[in-house]
Amino acid sequence: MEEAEAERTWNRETIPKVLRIVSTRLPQRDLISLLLVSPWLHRTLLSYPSLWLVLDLCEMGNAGNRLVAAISLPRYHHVKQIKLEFAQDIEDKHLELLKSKCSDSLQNLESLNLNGCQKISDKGIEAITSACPILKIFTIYWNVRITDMGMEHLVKNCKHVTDLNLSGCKNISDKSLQLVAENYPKLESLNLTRCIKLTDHGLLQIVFKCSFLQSLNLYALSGFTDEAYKKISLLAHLKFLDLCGAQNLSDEGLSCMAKCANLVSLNLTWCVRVTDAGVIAIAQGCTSLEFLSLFGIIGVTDECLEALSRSCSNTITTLDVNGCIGIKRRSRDELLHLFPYLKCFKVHS
Amino acid sequence: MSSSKSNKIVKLESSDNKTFEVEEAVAVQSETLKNMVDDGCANDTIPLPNVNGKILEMVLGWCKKHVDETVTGDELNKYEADFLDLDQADLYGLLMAANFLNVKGLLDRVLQRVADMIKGKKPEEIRRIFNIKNDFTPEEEEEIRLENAWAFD
Repeated sequence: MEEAEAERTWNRETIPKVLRIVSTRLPQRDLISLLLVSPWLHRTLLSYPSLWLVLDLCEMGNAGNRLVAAISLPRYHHVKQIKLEFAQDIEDKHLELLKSKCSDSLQNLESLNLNGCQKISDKGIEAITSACPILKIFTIYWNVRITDMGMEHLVKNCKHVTDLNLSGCKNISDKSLQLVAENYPKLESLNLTRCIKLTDHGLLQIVFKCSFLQSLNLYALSGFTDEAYKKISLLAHLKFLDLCGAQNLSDEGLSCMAKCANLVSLNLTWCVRVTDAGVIAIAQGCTSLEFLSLFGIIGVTDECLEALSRSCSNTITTLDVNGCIGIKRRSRDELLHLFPYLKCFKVHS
Repeated sequence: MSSSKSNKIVKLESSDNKTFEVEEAVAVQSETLKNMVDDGCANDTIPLPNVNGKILEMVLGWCKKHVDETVTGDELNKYEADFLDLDQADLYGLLMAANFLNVKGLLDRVLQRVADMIKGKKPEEIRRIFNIKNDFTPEEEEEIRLENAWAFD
């Protein structure tokens, strides 16, 4: 009798209590395996909504069908984050199905990751965004199908976006930037890597209207000029700026950016027109700098490193001066002498 | 008056009525006890009805080791590694106690140890490891398996 009682307590109380605490450490697959173990575990775990706020289908095949099956389950009715990065077989029709069958479950969605979901088009964006009004983070890296139309749907349906990643979405034009600027004045993070259709006109819209931007990624965009670069100085909250490949950026343009006093990370890889003058201006203005790449810039000399060392020697932990043949003293030891907290010497490969 | 470093003793009583006396510096490794000390509620013996004497002694041992300045980094690592060489019942008791008393470093380790026992295992294996009875009817089990099939490859 006592043994039966002990077994009951173990199965119905102890194990659910213990494993409920452990469940916060478990990846999705293992967490769901626990649901299949016993009815007591099943019931206990389902009674903790905080365990079911994230849905992770990254890299899974047949992801579209899996997504619909998962979202149909009551425990995901308050899902906050959906991750579909490099998921395969997910198409517009799945997102349309979600909208028609499960839109109630997406009302709390704050973060949607469609990175690498190359089959999704503007239609899919229209469907999914119409179901998640409070979306804050939207990332759809490497999708060449989406156009400005997709962005029209996004800004119409989701008024609270703070993080937008359009890296590799080559068909996006200045029109999208205008839409973003007009609708997201509180935008904090914007990634436009390789969106090659963009021009100064679009970028200027952003810098004039998105004054709370903290992170701006313009990697591999060589079409901008000083006309837009100079105005980046308006972004007083900017912490992260990636200008890799900004071949038109001059010292004058870069000097203006020294007004972004909160800058922590600056990538000037292949900014081939830059010389000491620009970097010295940055050194004087951006005294919290931790990450700096000057990779491939032949016009900078030891002088700019000395200036950087005077103002940022306490903060710089990453400095890439590979290919900077104008700098004579750039061995590991020489760099450590100037920047004692340096940990990383190579950013660009 | 007194120096900045308190020599106060904190008194604790386990569920099976064993009393323990520890220095305040040891006791406050537990966030729960620290809150009580900060709120001035630690002057009398603090009852801990959900922690038995054996487990409480283990937890306090951990806390003592972590304020002992004579212990080297290597010694501490070895101590922590050996600490969890326990049978399952004690392991779970320790987990519940570390959770309730909110001893961060200890809780982290125990949670990780138990999580590692579960990772990658099928439900039947989990039942075996933790000695859990399968109270599902075959129909219930099949229904739950089907509705969650999407989560597995």
